Amino acid sequence: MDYQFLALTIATAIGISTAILLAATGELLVEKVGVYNIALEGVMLVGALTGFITGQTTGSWVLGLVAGGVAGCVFALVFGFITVLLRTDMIVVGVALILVALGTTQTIGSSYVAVAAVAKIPNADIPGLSSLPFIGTALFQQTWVTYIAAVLPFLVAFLLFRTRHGLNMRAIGENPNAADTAGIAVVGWRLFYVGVGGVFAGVGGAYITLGIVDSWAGNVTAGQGWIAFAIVFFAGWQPLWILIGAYFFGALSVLGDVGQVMGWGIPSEAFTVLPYVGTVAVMMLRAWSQKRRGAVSWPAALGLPFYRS
Amino acid sequence: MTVMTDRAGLALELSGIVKKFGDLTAVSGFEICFEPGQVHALLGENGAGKSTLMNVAAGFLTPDLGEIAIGGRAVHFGSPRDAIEAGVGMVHQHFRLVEQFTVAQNLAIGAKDVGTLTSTKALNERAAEIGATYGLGVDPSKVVGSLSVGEKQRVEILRTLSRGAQVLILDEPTAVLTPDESDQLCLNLRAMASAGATVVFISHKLNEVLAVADRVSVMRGGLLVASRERSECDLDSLARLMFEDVTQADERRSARSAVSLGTEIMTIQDLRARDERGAMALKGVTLEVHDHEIVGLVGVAGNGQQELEQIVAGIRQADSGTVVINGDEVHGVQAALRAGLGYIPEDRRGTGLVTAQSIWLNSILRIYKQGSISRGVLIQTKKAKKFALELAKKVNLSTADVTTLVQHLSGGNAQKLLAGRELEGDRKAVVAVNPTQGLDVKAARAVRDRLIQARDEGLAVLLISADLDEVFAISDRIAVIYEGQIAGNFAVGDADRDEIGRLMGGGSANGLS
Repeated sequence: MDYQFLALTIATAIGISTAILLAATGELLVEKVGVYNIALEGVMLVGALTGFITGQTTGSWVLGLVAGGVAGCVFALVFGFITVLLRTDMIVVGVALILVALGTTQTIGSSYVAVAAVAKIPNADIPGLSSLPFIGTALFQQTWVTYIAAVLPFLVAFLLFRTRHGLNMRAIGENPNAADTAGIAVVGWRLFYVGVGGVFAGVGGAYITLGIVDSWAGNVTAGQGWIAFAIVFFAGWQPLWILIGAYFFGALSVLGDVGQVMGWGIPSEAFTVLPYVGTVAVMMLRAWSQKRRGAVSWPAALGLPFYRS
Repeated sequence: MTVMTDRAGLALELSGIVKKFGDLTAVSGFEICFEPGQVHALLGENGAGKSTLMNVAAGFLTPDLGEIAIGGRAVHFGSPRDAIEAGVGMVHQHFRLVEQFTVAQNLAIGAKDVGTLTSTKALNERAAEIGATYGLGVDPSKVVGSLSVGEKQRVEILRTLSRGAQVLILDEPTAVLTPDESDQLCLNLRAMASAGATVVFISHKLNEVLAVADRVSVMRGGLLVASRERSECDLDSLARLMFEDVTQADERRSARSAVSLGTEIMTIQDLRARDERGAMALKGVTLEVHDHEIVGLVGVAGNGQQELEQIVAGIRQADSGTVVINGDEVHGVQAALRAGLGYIPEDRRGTGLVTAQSIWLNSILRIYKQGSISRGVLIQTKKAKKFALELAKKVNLSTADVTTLVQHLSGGNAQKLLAGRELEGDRKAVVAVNPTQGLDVKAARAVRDRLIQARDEGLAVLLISADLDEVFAISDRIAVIYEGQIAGNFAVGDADRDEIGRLMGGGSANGLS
């Protein structure tokens, strides 16, 4: 494999992981306060269509991403109101909302199918760094969204483990009654972060239609929301492992294209499945080894509704 | 100890508070005032409405009717946060701590005086400072889940005080403490009151109320039946106020029928084990319990009782040593059960019972595999319910409806059910841990009587308790555990309270080396 080709492959892998990375990072925030938004796939779909339509009508990919984020936030808050405020089962509500998103976006988006995006997200070469041999091509000729997505897990890690607010967030996820007794607004913060997670997933969805496939199709997210959801679990709720998990998925996704170019003679279906199976398998191995070391720790109140008592 | 007061003393006045849960009126409207500079005890049986009233005062419950005034100003609490800001803090019977966090982190959550950025070092220093300010020492870097109950309580009190609470409400604070810890707590509460704080002390223990309070209010059935200065109270009058139908609340001492020791039923031989952090928790414990005998094991919480209890019950592994029950060396829950061991754990609603399930399902948890209840893989509901009904009658449960969920039972009834279940059938031995903790006098007596009855029927009873009165009242022998070793072992007639207290604190026994 030639040198430049490898660099391009790495660049593609990183770019393609952006949506999953954003969604998973947002979901981590949500889960750290004790809620899991299992409707992530639906939130991404809503963001993907809203972003695409906004991009088509305004011609601006920035507005497209913003609209995707806002739509994702609103849709996630629907989930939040039903589960956090009304304390309904998260799985039932989440699955229902995914079906709602799938059907609605398919209907509304039918006239946009197979239309090329007019507001594609451009690559932004980092001056200086992008002209470095190999590394420049591999890492520094991405879109702004990809750069930001790569930095976010570090910022989230800092927020969670180095700030007072992060401590309060973790307290809500571990023991909401303790947090409540200490004067923390448990329900308010849970809703807030469900909304924030919605922004992340919505932007991630919009990135798929404006930055990766550059078009809309029904179910365009193709399970990326589910993968993001799984990555959070298998990463053991650790931000940096989420980064690794997302990039691993990207790498496996690119492998199919590489295989075709290189003529490995492996059926393309196998490569379509590989990223999903591979990511889950590897992350499960990690989770398993962590568990053996007794180091795995999920937020103790994850998925439990809060009742003041 | 010094108490920093950033606010002058605040009186807490509750007027006409009414709180209903469905059909049940927990608190039904009366005037009560808690003055600054006083320890004010709120006395009453389980279910008298004490905790409900004070949960309203601390913002955990919204009253249906009535008004709260702090320092003369009317307030409305929508959440505990509002109450904290008004200077009211509550230490609950079941602690509100994040078990996975360190002491320092627990003291920091929700606190406003912690910097936006935190570091372990800064939080530890802050926690040490808070500990020093209020004279309650706890290691800031310890994970709360690994602390003893007494230590956890100190963390709770520190958290409440460090938020500037001037009205400190404590719900049954001594229920889980050793005598020494209780004495220390009472001293601390007295000191806080002297410094101008308003201390509300919820309790159903008459002796300790008389020892610590300046003023005593008695609640019964959601109503205030009396509110008096300490000088106007004595044991008998308070007991009469608390229970209409009980005249004497003192404990009955029951002598053992057999005089000489019987056969060894439970033999714990040179048991060694580690705690969660890998430190040695048991350093060679040897203890025997004979048939027709209650051995009371006393010690300050965190000296290995929990590890010992769990190993005997089969839910924890020992590093070395053996547990023999009725001739069989047991490892694991099923083996212990087969050997005839009953287990009444401290955490009755967590470990002991499945609260979200019905009485009848809880009744058969230990025996559902037996032919009397099951046929093949099917549980025979009718037989199970009949069994449960008999059990409920036998232990005098408040309800005869065995489909009632256990979470709706009071603490006393839940414990009667648990003790009944664990002593039912062909039992040879039983381990009971703080079996009367949090129960009122009547319910506690019922549980103790049941243990005595089990003893008289020939069981070997290992009673692990933090309540020295209880151990002295019903044990035949008393063993003291200190730092994972048996520090002393006495027939109850030869046991001296002071000496036992010394041994619990790590001192050596008189006349022994």
